[in-house]
Amino acid sequence: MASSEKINIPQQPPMVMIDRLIKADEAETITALVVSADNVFVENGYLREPGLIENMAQTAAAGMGAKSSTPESKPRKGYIGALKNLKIDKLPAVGEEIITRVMVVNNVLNATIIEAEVTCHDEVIARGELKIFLEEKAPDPPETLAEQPDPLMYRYNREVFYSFNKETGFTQKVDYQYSANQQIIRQGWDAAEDRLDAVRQEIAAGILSPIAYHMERCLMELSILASYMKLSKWRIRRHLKPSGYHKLTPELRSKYAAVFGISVNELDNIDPMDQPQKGT
Amino acid sequence: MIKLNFEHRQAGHCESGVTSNLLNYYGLKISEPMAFGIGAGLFFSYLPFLKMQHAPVTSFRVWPGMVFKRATSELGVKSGIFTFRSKKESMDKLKSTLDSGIPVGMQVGTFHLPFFPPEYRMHYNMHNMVVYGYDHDTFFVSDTLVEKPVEISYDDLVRVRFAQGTFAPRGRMYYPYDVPESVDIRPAILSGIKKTAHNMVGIPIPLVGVNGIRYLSRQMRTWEKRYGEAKASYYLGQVLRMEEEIGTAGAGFRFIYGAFLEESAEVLNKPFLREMAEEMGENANKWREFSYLGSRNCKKRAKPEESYDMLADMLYACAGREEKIFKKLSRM
Repeated sequence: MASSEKINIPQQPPMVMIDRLIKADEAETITALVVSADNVFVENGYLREPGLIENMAQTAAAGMGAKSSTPESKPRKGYIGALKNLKIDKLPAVGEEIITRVMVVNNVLNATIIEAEVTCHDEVIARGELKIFLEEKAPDPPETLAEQPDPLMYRYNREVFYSFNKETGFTQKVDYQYSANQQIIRQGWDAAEDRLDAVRQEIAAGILSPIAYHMERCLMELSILASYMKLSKWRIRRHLKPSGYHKLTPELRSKYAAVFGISVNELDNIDPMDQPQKGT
Repeated sequence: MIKLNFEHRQAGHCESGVTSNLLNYYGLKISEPMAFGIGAGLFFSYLPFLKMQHAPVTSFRVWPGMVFKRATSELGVKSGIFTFRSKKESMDKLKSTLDSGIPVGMQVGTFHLPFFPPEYRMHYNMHNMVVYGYDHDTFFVSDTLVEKPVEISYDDLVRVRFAQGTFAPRGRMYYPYDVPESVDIRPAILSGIKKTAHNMVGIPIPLVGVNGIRYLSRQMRTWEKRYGEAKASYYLGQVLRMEEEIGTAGAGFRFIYGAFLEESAEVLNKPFLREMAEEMGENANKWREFSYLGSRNCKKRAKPEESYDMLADMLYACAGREEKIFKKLSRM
């Protein structure tokens, strides 16, 4: 039992029916158990049938536990749904070691069908097919989302978050934005970067003017730029084209520069390394 | 120099937090969820014909400014709300109001807000904060999103107050000035709940309330086919940003609203409201689950079964739950 804590299964003693994990990979899982006298399923010196079936099911669970992404993650609970072609030739006696081999035959939705084979002294003593239903995986509660290994984009301002669970009701906490949320914020910036790249290419192709570039760099849209410039949208649209851009008056150029927060000379610069601007 | 003795408290939602903090300054203890609930802030609307940052507008709350307006009028607090054409006039009015010892709430754009986390600085004009003093050209600001009180220069303040774009603030500022010493908040709570219930289940327009959630759910199923993978993912991201980003305290205000119902149950001594609060809490957790799974899609780590169909199913279920909750609340 000493090594049983390394095996990642949902069962707790005294229901643990495996001692050690010998092998766990995609194809099969092998475990070993020395039948001890204090085993709950031992009767008259022999491990009874329910013990053997538990042993098979737990071997399957140990395999899944070992394959789950993080060793600490909680294993999913499973229920034995059906037994097929179960054949038990012999019951193992106390003190004997049994080796159990389990192969996953099929995964259907939440059910896993496994084929198990129990050997004792190199002799197959039991075999059968089990259908195990896995409990729906509960989604991680919001509290743990922040502790996910994803790097946080920023850690310089904590915000207030609310959460709810049945026991404590609603609670407030102050923490950094969850990593999942930071991810969706990042997606917004990534998209802005892609748009900026697209504009760069269109400028190189002579379709758009630097105004379009600075507009995108400042995360503006036509309507926003038009209202900052106090010009109509169709006039701005002209300036977005190279032909309209070259006809810009010095007054309008300096007005554009002021709106974009740059100097007039910088208006022509299109820096390939520029990122979308995060405010000023 | 003027620096009022204003208590800076962080909050989940900027406008409710500002409302709560402003009333708190006058000794009226109204919590943030309370301000949000009485102000009937909860809402849902999906407006595919309006684009913001290149994606359809999804909103989980009422029009900006409504929470303060409703909450103060329901509580019998007299307040002033102003917008300006002239920048100078707006700043003069701000200074003179501060001079008379009144902290001022204002709507600002976030793009030029210097103390804001850079990741949040988009052209988003529905942010609220309180200015509670000034020293020459430096203004003292309490922003519910930021941990500590901050400062802003005169020029920057003008810029954020006159930010352009959707919902341009036009220098909008507001403050309560006549706050009664004690207020019976019970009728205000009931009226707030009624209003929200009406907004969520009583408006026969398919784009708003629970119908809006269902509409979004139906649209979501078609995104991938209609717009391709990249754009669909961006659209989904936009919904999630609106749900979880700046100042919703999570789950598109559903947590705050649940907290409001919980607090109301105490105040009114109605076990029924406690039940509703619990249901709202469960519902909020489902919304969080939705945004969590959706975020995996946005970083392209979704499992095949976590498709738009599945997310749409989750939304549909959320709509069903909210419909049940608000139908019950409207019958109260």
